Amino acid sequence: MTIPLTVTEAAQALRDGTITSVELTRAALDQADRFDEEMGVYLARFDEYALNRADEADRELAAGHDRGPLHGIPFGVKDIIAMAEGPTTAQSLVLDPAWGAGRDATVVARVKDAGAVITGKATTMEFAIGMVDSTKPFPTPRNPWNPATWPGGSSSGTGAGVASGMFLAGFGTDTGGSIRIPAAYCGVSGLMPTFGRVPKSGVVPLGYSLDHVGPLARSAHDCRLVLDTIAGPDGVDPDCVAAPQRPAFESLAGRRIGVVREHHFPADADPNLQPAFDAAVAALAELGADPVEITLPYWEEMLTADLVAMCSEAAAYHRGDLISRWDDFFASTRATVALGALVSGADYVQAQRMRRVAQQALVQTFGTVDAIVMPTSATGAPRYDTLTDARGRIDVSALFGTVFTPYWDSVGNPVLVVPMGFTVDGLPLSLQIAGPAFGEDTILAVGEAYQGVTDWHLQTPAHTSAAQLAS
Amino acid sequence: MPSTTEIETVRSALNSFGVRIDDAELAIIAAGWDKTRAAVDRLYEPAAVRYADPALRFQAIPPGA
Repeated sequence: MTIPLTVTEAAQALRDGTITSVELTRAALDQADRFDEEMGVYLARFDEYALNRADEADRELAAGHDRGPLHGIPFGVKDIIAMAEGPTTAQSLVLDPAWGAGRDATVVARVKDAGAVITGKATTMEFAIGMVDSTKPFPTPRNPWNPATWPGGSSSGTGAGVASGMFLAGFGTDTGGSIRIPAAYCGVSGLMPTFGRVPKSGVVPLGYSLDHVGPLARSAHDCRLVLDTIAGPDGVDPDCVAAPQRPAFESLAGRRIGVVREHHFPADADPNLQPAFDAAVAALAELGADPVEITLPYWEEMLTADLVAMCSEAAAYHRGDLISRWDDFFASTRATVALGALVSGADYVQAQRMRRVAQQALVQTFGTVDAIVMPTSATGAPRYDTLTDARGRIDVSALFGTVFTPYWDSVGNPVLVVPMGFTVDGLPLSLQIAGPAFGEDTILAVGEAYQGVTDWHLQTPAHTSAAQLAS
Repeated sequence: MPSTTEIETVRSALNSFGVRIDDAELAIIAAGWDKTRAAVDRLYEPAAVRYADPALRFQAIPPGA
């Protein structure tokens, strides 16, 4: 028996009767049994619950009660998202255990209704911002492509879990790149939907005006299946709107694709980045697209705006705990959130004014192109030992010049990331595909077309591949 | 290493915020503050932002009401 790699394949196999949800779920749990002590994907596993849900899915499907493509699919949930079956910790000693207790976040309730089999809560950076702190009692998430490297964050466990087959899809959140960075470093796909496409209710906030909830999965099409399940207002999140999808297109023929190089190829970029990106652009051209070199308006300003808005909003949320429980936070959490105390209220509003200006400029840009492509990161996943500061603590600031994600959080547009090759060290490289606001259908169509002629998204890390062909 | 000005600026701001930390951690947080402050100041410079509306809105009816 071959275990399907994608949600799409698994959904078909479940309906063809070539596999059951219980078999899929057992295979996923077996992967966790074998590798999670090293990989640090889970903060909590719900094995019994998951197997019961899988059995229920099998019985429902057999009876002709089909809940859709997520029915019976093993699924992971980042542990800043509430789920009734277990506590939400935000990977922190600080979060009140009563927060979210016994309740499902809207997105969790929606995938449950769709029959997904949630196998557990996945590791994150503390409050989606703090890098691993070895003085705190939490697992260190590792990258299946090389366990000496970071899987990215903050949706670390979700990225590593999909890459290692511990579940087929899962939830991440993205405030400065936290869906796209782990998807990139772990060699899977990830979708940051438009701000306001998916409700944030039941998600521990990092930056109220920046947080996005979205899927990580192997393929762009898998991300589409999850998005279709979770999008739309819930009457609770005031930011979430009932925006229609922009019209989809059937092929890339004649579609103009903006190609961004400025700021994305620093001197310390991996030598394979340029050829991998050029090959990705060439693949889109061969599919009929018309690549057009462009630049992004207000690049530097949007990086600053993301930092100012995120840290200000986080500092407001955490102030009481920062004062009373400073040492209980991860060192990098408190160092980053403290920046919110260093800027003024006027600075915060100015960042929000600048975001509006950049949004409007981007509307003009998207008047000339259908989508925009650029690398997600200049390098593959960094080794943990290169991220350690002089005091032995993990310092993520070294990455700020090589990761190209925060711009899109500031403007709120949707971005899909897909694997596009490997570094000289054999670590995944990734392509960002950005679209106009509420243009998820467009970027997913580009990603699906690209993945129709490439197989980077189907490559699996040798380190954790043993059970992929379980028999 | 952060400058003395950076350290004292950051110390003062954090104290006002209600946080008092040791000098070693203060040095980590203060490192590069002048550069960050300059980037924040540049948010005021583009001509297009002079009369821009912020990406903030208050709603008279609270969510869920």
